[in-house]
Amino acid sequence: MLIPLHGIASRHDLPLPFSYVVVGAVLALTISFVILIFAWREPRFERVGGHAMPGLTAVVDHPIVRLIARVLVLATYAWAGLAMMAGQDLLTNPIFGFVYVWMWVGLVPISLLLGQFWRATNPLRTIHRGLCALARVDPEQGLLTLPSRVGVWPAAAGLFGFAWLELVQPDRTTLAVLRVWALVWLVILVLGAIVFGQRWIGAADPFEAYASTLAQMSIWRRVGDQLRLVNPLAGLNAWHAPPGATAVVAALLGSTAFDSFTNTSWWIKGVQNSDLPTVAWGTAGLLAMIIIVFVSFSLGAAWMGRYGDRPATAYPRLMVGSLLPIVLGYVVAHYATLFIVEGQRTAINFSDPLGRGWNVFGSAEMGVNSAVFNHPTAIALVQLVAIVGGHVFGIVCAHEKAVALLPLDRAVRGQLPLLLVMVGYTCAGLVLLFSP
Amino acid sequence: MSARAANGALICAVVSLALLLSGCTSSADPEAAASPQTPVSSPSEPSAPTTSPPSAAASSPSLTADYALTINIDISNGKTVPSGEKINVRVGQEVILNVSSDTDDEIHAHIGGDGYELPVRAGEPAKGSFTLSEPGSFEVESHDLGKIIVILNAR
Repeated sequence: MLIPLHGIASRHDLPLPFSYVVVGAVLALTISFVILIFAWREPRFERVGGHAMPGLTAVVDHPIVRLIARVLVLATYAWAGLAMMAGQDLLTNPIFGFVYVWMWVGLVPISLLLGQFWRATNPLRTIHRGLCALARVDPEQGLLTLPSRVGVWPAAAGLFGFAWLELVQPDRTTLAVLRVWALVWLVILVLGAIVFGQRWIGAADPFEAYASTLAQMSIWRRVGDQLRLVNPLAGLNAWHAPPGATAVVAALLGSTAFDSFTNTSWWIKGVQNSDLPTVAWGTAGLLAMIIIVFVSFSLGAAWMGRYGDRPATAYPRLMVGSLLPIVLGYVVAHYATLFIVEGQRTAINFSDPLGRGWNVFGSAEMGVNSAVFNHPTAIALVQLVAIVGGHVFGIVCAHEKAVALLPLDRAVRGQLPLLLVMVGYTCAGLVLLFSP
Repeated sequence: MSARAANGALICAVVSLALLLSGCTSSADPEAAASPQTPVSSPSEPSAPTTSPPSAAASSPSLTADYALTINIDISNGKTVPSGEKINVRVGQEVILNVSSDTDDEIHAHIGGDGYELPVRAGEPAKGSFTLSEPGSFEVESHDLGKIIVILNAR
């Protein structure tokens, strides 16, 4: 098997047909203005609502259930860690798919379907908890107190780090590189948790920050002590985004956009024939994409300060939830086929972490079903629906927030710049999928 | 009629007009015009001389599976020509690589399965061919330089 230069997949989605780009852009623009002009003028989701699930809450919160879930997830990571430390340095080693597909893409469906499952079973928390039990200290207690204004800023930096590893780092599919990154991740997070208490993991783990952010769109939401089955829009509206959440979301959106951007002929030709090293271009490009998203969104949201009674700097964090559906749309459009096809390959290789012909889970003899690629029109349609659908839900969320935050007669004018920014993201996403 | 209802009618009109326009755009497929005649790829002779070329061949020859697609690749001074170009091919169409290089290299085509490899010796023209059996987007790379030569979009 030939190792691809970039990433782990050798077969990619075809470019989105140009007509789809046009249709998508027109739909995004018109639906946005229809919502802006005709939608409700009174907040509709001020209460989360939904159905209380006392039985489910009791099961999920049962100490035995929690312990089993934590141990199973930790064992999965330990198995992957075995492949990383003792396996072969080949693309058949499941660790590459485990990190770049199962973790990075898989956390999206997990968080949507199971809510805060990632946070509840994060192996870093389990390891830290174990260490604290050995030392007989309270895992909540650290040596220092983490200031609350830190929020999830460290995780935003971590997300940039992971995106850099995934998209820029040379030899990212070699064990030597991955071991260094995994070790740095483990040490920073666990040591930090010892210093600041386990709050540090929520603040700094890029995977948990990503997962728990996307879980805001889950149908499960905890209100007080109880799990509720909720309308995801109402749930998302109830999210109190921590400081740094805008940077987290910008890192997610910006890095996905950069992933597409590096696939354009324009970028490939420019970088390959430049005298500057590829790493320099990649680092600058990735950073620029994230900053563009961060600054444009912050400015669009800050505009609301002209009409509302809060300082302009307060609005980006209040509005950032409305970007999550757009992030989700981007992720589905970019990574769905990768997840389906390479996810299977990872499952197959997972039976044989050391490359010794084992078949521990009985999956080693299975074949990868890549029939999904034989339906390019269906893939293109799913991409279009994901991007435009994400956009529409994003606009709905932004509108709901705007009418709740701004005086009645100013809500439309106040959210107009943000709406245009979001239309811009969606059109950019479509053009990048067209991949000129 | 209230002002709001009038606004609504106007917007509906704009929406339908826009959709109509985008529908028109979609019927004129821009890729057919954009792709086949890249400077480096030229349609070669029909692979089966007995087959008469279909009438559509005149407008977009390389999009027809009956013709082989030839890609001329030049590698010199650590750079490749072409460099990252996207080329449309048909599923089942033969792709011929004509490579000249000033260093030993290996051309990798990630075409699914085990992929395709073409070893290249410095100063000796190398020729190889493969067929894309499934739709998708596939990279052809210079392995030693770590550079993408072309991306084949097979439909």
